[in-house]
Amino acid sequence: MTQFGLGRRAFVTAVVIFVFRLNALPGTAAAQDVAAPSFDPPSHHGPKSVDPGPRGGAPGAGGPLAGLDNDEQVLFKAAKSRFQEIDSVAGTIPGETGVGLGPRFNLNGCAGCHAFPTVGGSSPATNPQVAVATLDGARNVVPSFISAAGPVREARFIQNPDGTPDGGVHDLFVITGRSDAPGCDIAQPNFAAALADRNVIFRIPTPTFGLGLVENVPDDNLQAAQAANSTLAGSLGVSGVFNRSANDGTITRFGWKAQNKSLLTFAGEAYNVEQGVTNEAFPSERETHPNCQYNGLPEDGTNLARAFSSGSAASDYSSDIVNFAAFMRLSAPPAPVPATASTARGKQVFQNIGCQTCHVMTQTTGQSRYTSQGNVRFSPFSDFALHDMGVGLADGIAQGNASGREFRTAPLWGVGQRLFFLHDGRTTDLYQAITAHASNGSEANTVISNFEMLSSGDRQTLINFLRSL
Amino acid sequence: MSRIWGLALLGCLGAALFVADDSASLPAVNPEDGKVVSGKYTNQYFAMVYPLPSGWGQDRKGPAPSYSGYYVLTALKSGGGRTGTMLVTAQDQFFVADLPSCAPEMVERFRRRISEIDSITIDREPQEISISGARFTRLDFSGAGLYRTVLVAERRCHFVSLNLMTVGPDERASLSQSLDRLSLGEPDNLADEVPVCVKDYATSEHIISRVEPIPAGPKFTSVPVRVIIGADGRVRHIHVIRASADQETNIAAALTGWQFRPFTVEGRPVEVETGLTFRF
Repeated sequence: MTQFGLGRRAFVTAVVIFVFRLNALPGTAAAQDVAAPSFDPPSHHGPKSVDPGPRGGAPGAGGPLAGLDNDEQVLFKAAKSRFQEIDSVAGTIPGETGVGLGPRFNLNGCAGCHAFPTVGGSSPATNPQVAVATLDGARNVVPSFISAAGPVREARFIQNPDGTPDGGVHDLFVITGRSDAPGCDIAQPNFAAALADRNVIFRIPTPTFGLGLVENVPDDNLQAAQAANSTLAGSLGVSGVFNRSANDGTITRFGWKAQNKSLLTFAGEAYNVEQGVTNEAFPSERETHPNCQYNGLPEDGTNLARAFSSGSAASDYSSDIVNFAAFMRLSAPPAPVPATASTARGKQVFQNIGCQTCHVMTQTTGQSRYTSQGNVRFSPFSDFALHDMGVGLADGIAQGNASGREFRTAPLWGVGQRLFFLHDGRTTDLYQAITAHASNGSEANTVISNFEMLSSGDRQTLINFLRSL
Repeated sequence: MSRIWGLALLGCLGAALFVADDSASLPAVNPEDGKVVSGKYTNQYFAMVYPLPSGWGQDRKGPAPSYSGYYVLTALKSGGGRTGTMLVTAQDQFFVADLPSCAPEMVERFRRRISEIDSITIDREPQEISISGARFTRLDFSGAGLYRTVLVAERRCHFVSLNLMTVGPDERASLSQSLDRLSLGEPDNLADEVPVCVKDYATSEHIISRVEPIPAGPKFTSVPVRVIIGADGRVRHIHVIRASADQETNIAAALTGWQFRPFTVEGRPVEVETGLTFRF
């Protein structure tokens, strides 16, 4: 160690990073065909606990928030319709009337990714990215990490060719060959090379239900909820830190790493990054090849004349991203099913082993401009803070204050009707998703250790409880 | 637990002041530097030694120290099937607002929190005990088939916690018994070895000259730093607890230029350990 102890620390950091890279990130492409996570033999023998799978029946989400007034409900309905719009390059293809797709994109509409159990959710059972690859004459090759039965995915590269951090989304597809993109001849990224270099990681869509409540939780409330748990968390190896806006320092809370401040930012970024549609929040094309530009920018903007006839003037004059944000902001949270003896016990187990130290069960909104939405207690099962999830889930992508191993606590509401779990959708099995929380460096290790020490019956009740949400 | 004796006394008794000899020159260790070697967990910073029970070993590694100065010092587990674990943690007392003022208060706060959880049973109310002469506050509780004990002591302005988790009361008793062999640097011995720890010593009242670190990202982060200030008022050891690499480098570079008024005890300058926060 040098006089002030920095030399050794820097060396250790370098070694850790080196080893981290050599081993490949378990969340990266090299490890996408994930075997069951390492799991200690349970101390209590008995039948293996089993994820019963997504709960059947009607979707427990998708409608408007309870208590909205008539104008707000009409806006929600119109905004939901806009959320389901399909985009093409110039809006000239029947049934694909949205303008601005590409030049690079992952899909051609919000609702294709945010689809299950209903509009606004997460990845559906049949991945629409396979079909969109060749829609309207496009000649895209479907990357090997995309399959019809797999999750919708975006891809991010960890490093640039010169070794500097990348972290950005590299869209899967291009508009080359499409009937509405004459003259454009750009190529898809070389995903095969990125896979071979272990330089690509994946993210799946986050559900959007109930996010207006999340947006409206004051920073003080988030911090108070975290502080209320601090002594319990401290006995379990859990700490956590909030991601913060580089603009104003307030807590950011949307996205896998809580990198987005607001639903408008969330919508604007996704519209540009996932669909290639420039907008008033993200007005620049990411792909600037001159042969692939077809529209004035931004392609989505405020309508100076009434462009739609939805019945909501607010919706009709507003841009797409304002509508997308309104749909998310006014949507109701997922509703759990009534408790059974098993799920009631599972809820106790959930708290006994410490899951709620990160998956904070209730939060409270602040004052709201929307009817009946102020000071509402709701149950997202998240503290919306970042936690180190260890080498097993690390994706190597830093965003804001979030390091390559840190993720926002994924809200568990609606998990009963989710098909794919974890940031990259690596598993459909809730049991595996739970045990994957444990690996070297993870804040969840002790909680998962507690899970491992439960009787098989109590583990089953916990899973049943989660599937009731 | 022959050497564990109950005091059945709660409440803060006032922190001891551990005075360093001005010739002291401890090796520059940090709380997270402990390790398990040859069946024994040793942490030089806290002068802690714990011979593990037979068959026990290191569990998955914990996370890096947090922005609040929270450490997972080590995680231990039983051999064979997982029937018990022990998590050893520390919470720096310098970087968290509204932290309890002493270990009994910390445990009492913990007790109140877990009492809010359905089906948790308090098996043994908070009680002060001694393990090999070191004072701990102990709480036992259980629920969902897990039997747990929390023990909290104070060392070098940290709360050091032992968190025992087992699948049965007998396993908990056995694991508790193993703590008879734990040592946690007794105060009298420490007095000759560790600096005084003083909160908020790095204030304008005590700083003669300072150099601000060059700004580095990410923005809006508060970086916790522990320093040992020598009897000459210069910074002798810097521990940047959690920061980006650039922030750490810049903070260390800046602190080499700081000059403090020496901390004195009975008019004699001595080493002092304190914490300070850099906001980027």
